[in-house]
Amino acid sequence: MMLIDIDPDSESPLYQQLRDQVVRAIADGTLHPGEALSSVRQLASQFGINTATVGKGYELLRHEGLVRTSRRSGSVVARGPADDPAPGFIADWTERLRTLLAEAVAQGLPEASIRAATDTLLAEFAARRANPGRTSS
Amino acid sequence: MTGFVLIFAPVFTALFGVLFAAIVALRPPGLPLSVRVPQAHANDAVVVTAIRRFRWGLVLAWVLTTGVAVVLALAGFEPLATILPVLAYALISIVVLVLSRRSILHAKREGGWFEGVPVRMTAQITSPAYHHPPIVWPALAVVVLAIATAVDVELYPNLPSSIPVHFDVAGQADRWAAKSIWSVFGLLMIGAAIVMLLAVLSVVAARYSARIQTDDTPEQSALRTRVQRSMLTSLLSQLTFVIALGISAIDVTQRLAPTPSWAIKVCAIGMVILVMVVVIAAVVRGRAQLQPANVRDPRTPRPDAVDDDEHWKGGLIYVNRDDPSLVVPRRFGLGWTLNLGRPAGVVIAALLFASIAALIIAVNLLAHAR
Repeated sequence: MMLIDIDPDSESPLYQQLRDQVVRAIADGTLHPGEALSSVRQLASQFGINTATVGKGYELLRHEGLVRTSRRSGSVVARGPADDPAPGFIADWTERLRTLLAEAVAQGLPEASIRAATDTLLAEFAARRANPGRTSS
Repeated sequence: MTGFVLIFAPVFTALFGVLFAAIVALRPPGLPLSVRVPQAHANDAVVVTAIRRFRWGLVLAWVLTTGVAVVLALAGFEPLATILPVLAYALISIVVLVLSRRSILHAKREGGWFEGVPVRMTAQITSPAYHHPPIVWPALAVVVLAIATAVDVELYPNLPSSIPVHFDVAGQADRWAAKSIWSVFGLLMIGAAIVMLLAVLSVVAARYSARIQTDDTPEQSALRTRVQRSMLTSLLSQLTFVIALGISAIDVTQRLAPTPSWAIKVCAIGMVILVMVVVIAAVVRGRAQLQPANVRDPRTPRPDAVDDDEHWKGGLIYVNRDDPSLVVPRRFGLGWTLNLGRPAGVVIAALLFASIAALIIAVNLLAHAR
């Protein structure tokens, strides 16, 4: 069972929060490739929000190749840590990483701290994958 | 007869009141009297006072309607003396709810209770494990109805040519029909239909992806939603048996001993009381299941649920255009309510209302046509 916890007062829009939490859950092994996700309508009903909002989150995930939707089996997780990245992903992601790293450098964060932070987060994902009993935050 | 009328309305409204109060006790901590409040204010004096006022209001309404019932019964308005007080009680308790929650709403607005309070919405993105509602109760219901049918089949050749098909509130037969499959087995057919409807509802309730009331950690909120759902499904499933038992008892009693009207009366009242007992037991059980889980680490900060009061008119009627759900869990009490923000919700509500009105008018016309 995977829970999505959304903060409606956040600056980040609801669909973005939804997308981010699914991506994290795939990274830390909470969601596995092939696992079925609720339909857009079911999820929107549970939240009590517009289907368009949830649909937008799913659309992002589909576009990134992390989720696929078919008429027969609904939405399922399409990729996991053991798979190859989706075509075009690396170029896209490098662009966003450039901005993220630029933020850290612009704020005066030393290079060693940036590397350490990256290592810590990657270790966290790996630890959760190895020990799936714990729920992700 | 008058004695029965004197007892019926007070007992019925008292059970109804106990049920209403029990439902208030089952509320999630962030929804006193169907007002959304943050955890930090859930035990404020104004909330505690409002709930106490609500309970006293129910007691007062009971005294009032019982008084009306007694006066009407003594004055000889017999059918009115049973129905009017029960309807009046239901209406007054809604008014009591709306009035007593106003002070909480006012304090919340003036005090800006939700300003700067972190809120969350929670949902399950993977399908939860599906639990079948217990099969044993509908199975027993079928057995009981089958036994009553067998008794009727056995007695059929020896039954009189005229069968009582309608009884007044005192259990006295007041309408008769020629002996036929319909007049003999009609009651059991109605019973079977109700059992089937409740069994289907319990399966629907088990499958329904319920909204999680986020006024706790996501896991705790999800647990409460699960407990409430399992409570509702097992309740519906138990009711199939209770109602089958009651209807079978009434049916067999009126075949075997149609003359002592008190026997039929005992069966009817017994069924109503049993239904109430099963409902109250379900509520108590649900509370017990949640108790140990409610003990949590007080240091963990808990976000609150989103303030959705604007979508709940009077705390009872749900109107939300953005919500794709046609039915949502009631905020106050058990079960679901229609979302009147959706066109289909309005249509279904109108149809339900019209069919209830038509039923009441039809029953009255039949009673007068006699």
